[in-house]
Order: sequence, then C-alpha cells, then structure tokens
Amino acid sequence: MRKSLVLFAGLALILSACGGGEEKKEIDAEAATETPQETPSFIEFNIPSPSEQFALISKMDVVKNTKGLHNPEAADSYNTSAQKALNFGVYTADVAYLTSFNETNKYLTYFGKLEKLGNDIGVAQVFGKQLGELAKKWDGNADSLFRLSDETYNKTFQRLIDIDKGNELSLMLVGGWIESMHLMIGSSKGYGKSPKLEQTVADQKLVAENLLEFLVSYKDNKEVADYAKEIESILSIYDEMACSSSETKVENANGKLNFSGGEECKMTEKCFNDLKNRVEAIRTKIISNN
Amino acid sequence: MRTVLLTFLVVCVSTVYGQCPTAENIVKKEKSKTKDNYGVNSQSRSGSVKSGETYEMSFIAQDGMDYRLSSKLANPSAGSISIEIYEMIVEKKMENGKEIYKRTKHVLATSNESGAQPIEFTTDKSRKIFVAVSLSGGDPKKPACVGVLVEDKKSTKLGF
Repeated sequence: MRKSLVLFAGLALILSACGGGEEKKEIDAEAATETPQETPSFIEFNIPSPSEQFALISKMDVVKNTKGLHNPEAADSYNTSAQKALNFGVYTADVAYLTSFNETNKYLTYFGKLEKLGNDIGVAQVFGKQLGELAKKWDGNADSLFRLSDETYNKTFQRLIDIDKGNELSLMLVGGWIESMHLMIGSSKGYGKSPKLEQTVADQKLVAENLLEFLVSYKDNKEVADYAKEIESILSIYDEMACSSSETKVENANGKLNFSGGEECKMTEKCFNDLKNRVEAIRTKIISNN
Repeated sequence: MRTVLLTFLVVCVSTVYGQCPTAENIVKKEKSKTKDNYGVNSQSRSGSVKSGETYEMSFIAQDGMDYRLSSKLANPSAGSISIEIYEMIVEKKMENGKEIYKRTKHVLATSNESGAQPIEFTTDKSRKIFVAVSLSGGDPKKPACVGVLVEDKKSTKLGF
C-alpha cells in the first residue's frame, strides 16, 4: 500500500512537472518581460571545495597538522543557526584534511558531527542512511572516504541552494575556507621552508575575492555581513604581497589550451605572518560558542 | 534505463519547480563510454537564462590541474548556446594626470575557436576564470536552464 502511494505521488509529480508546469512558466516569463530591469547582469562566484584544495597540498613538502583540527566534541555546544552553519563548514574542511592526509582513524567521529550539524541546518536529506553506511563500509579507505567527503560537500551546497538557505550556505563557505586556511598555514614547515605551500596560500587571494563576491548577495543577513568584513580584512593583508603583471598567453597544443602569464603575486614573510594571525583570530571567533 | 528515467525525472521536476537541475545532470545526461581521469569539480553550476541573455559564472582554476569545461542546455530545443572563457585584467592607466585602475575583459577562448565542446585547458598558475554562456534563438520569454560543468584532473607534466 505504501509502495503504491509513493508510486502514485511520483507519477503525479512527473505529470505535473512535465506537462502542467508550462502555464506557470509562461506567467513568470510575462512578469519578467514587463520589467526588464529585473534581470540585471549577474555573475555566480564559486570557490574550490576544501577537498580540492587539500588534494594538492597533501602532495607538497609540508607537515601533517592534525593537531590543528577542531575539537569534534565542540559540535554539540553550538546553539544558533549561524554557529551551526559556520562550524559545519569547519568540520567539512577537517574531514577533507583527514582524508587527504590518509588520517582515516578519526573520520567516523568527524563525519558523525558533520551529520549532526547537517541535520540541524536543514540538510538531513544529504545524510541519508546510505551515506552513513558508506562511511562505515569505507572506514580506513582514504581514497573512498575522500570522494565521500567531496560528495557530501557538493550535495550540501546544492541542497542549501535548493531550499533557499543562502545565509547558511554563505556561513558554511566562510567556516570551510577559514578552517582550510588555518590548516594550510599550519602545515607549513615555517616561512621559506615550504615554498610551494606559500604560493598556494598566496593564490588563496583569488579564493577570498570570489568568496567575498558570493557573500555580497546575502549581506542583508547580519552574520554574513559581519564575516564579509572579516574576509575584507584578509584581502587587505593580501594587498601587502608583491605582485607583477604580464600579458596572458593562450597556446593551443593538440586541442588543449595552455594559459600562461597574467598577474603573479609572491608571498612575503610579513604577509604570511599577518595572514596567520588574522585567520587565527577569525577562526577563534567561529569556533567559540558565544 | 533506470538512470535515464531518473535523470528525466530530475530534469523535469527541477525545471518547473524553481531551480535548475545540477550542471552534472544537465551535461552528463549520457554516461561517457570512454573512461578518463576527469572528475566533477565542486564549482560546476547551473542557472536559468533567456534567449538574448548571458549566464555568467566565475571559478578558480588551480595550478597543477587540467580542466575540461562543458556547457549544455537542459532542453536542447530551447535555442543554441555559445561559450566564452575570459579573465578580468586590472590595468593601471593615467587619465588627466591621475593614476586610475581599469578592469578590462580579456577573452581566453570561445566555443568556436576551440572547435567542438568541451574546452580543455591547463594553467601555469592559479587564476580566476569567468565563463559566459549566451543563449540565442528560442523563445525570449521562456527561461531555459543551462549547465556549466567543470571537470578536473591532476596535470601530467611531460618531459624531463
């Protein structure tokens, strides 16, 4: 009986979606035609996921910084929606770091906390029974858990868009990026000793710029506006870097394009240390439960 | 068969009830028969666009990665699309004796230049990439869903 009801509901949804919905679309389109300024030029800004960032860093000459991960027990102490969204982002980065550096023994603990906060911010659907079972099944398999972490991040991102929770999504991105920066900088062997990592930290300027552009759309929210200012403060530190510019060249090699040249920024010791201090201050604010 | 039905359901429901299907669902309707090492990048996006308009997105391409960019309409009969990849250049200029900074668009590739889709590229350093997908033809009153699928894999450096 239950199966039949689900089937009926599914069929009704398909029929209304693929047939009856046409009229609704027409009405929306008409409304937009009358007010052409309703469709201004808009760019969607994106940033790489923590997994995509750590996948490259884990292959560099760096130190494993698992001591820098956030305490999983703290997940139970967050009360507001903003705290939960911010720290969901933090734990997303922690989970990505663990799998990138083959530290899978703590994975299930962190994944459990991610699931708890995920349920609280409205993305329970992402953490179905299947995902939890996969996490247990793949316990110890770093490659599979890495893919699972990335998939969780992507599904959460999409789900928050689908349910119109842009504020939570913005805060999740902030938490994830700040934790990624904290772990990245903490993986350095010291300024001048991990040059590739320092360049990656320098490149994060681009990520910070796109993150700030993303937050602009949700600046009506007090918490988002507050963290947008924090990202601005990081960008002003990046302005200390020594940058040079050349023309970007495009070469076509057997159908694959090679982009070279353009703006190049080099990290300085002062900038590195200033970034470290600023990131730590913002992270402390994010992970505290006040 | 199950995958085709599921994709059809996702595309239909999402198109009508507000959001567009994900870029992966729009672009990868048919599973690729040839296996390669490309994986879906989290910065893939989809959005709605009307004929005569352009959907734009920006993503960060990281040093050490190869990228493949594909774009498709959820409903192929909604019109035809053209793709442009560009970056914004900040130039210092002198105007009336004053130093000013101007942002100019520098086109890196278009769907025509690169031949058939998808566009594959690699970069010598991390850079901010903009993608503009313009829709022409079709009904200018009806929004259509367009997906921009970003795929990546670790670069394989040739030579010694």
